[in-house]
Amino acid sequence: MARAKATRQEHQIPEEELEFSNVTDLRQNLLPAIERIEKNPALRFLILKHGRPQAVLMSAETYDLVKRLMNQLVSAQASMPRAAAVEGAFRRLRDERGPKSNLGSSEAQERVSQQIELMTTMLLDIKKQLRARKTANAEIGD
Amino acid sequence: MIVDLSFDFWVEIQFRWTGRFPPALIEEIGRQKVDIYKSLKPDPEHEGMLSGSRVITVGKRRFDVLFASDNYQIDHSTDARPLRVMIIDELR
Repeated sequence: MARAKATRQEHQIPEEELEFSNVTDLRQNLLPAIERIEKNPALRFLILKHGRPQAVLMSAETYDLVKRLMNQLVSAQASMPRAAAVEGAFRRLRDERGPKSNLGSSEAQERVSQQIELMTTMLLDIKKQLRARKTANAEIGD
Repeated sequence: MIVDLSFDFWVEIQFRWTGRFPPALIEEIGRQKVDIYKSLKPDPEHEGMLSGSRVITVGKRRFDVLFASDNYQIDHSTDARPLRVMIIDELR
């Protein structure tokens, strides 16, 4: 069974104890895998079928923990008024806008214009200083 | 036109964890996604968004599904239009 890299790009939180296994490997090594999970409840096997993740093997205690956590989330959501739930869904969708797409909004365009203006001013200042230094050097030379 | 279907976090939990909605509902939404996208209207309360709802029937169960699409997330290189399932209410 292949040991996963400490951090996979798609996981925001490093999963040190994640291992990959294909169905054939796992079938042959199921008992040792279960024994390893018993010793280390943080260990999980991501089972691949045709190279794609299909299922996860984890300890029953870990599953119970995930179940409790998920049920808490579901209860919190169920008690939320519909209008708040809709607004939350729109907020999450809006939050997925990338920096490139934000350039379309007038607010973002204004921000970019301000930055360009500031950089132009800074460049002009630098140019002025360089010219002044060049003149001073020429005077010293004379 | 390509319509790229996605699900809000909570809808995904209801599908994948609580099993509150039948998997056939996802398939039915998938079948209707282009038609649903075309029926969306600009949302006056959410800048840059289109939205609309549709009643989808799966067997004897009926679901009122709210959809939205963010114009800022259109992939112009492939003309892929995003379509998000926002909320699902089962009609009794």
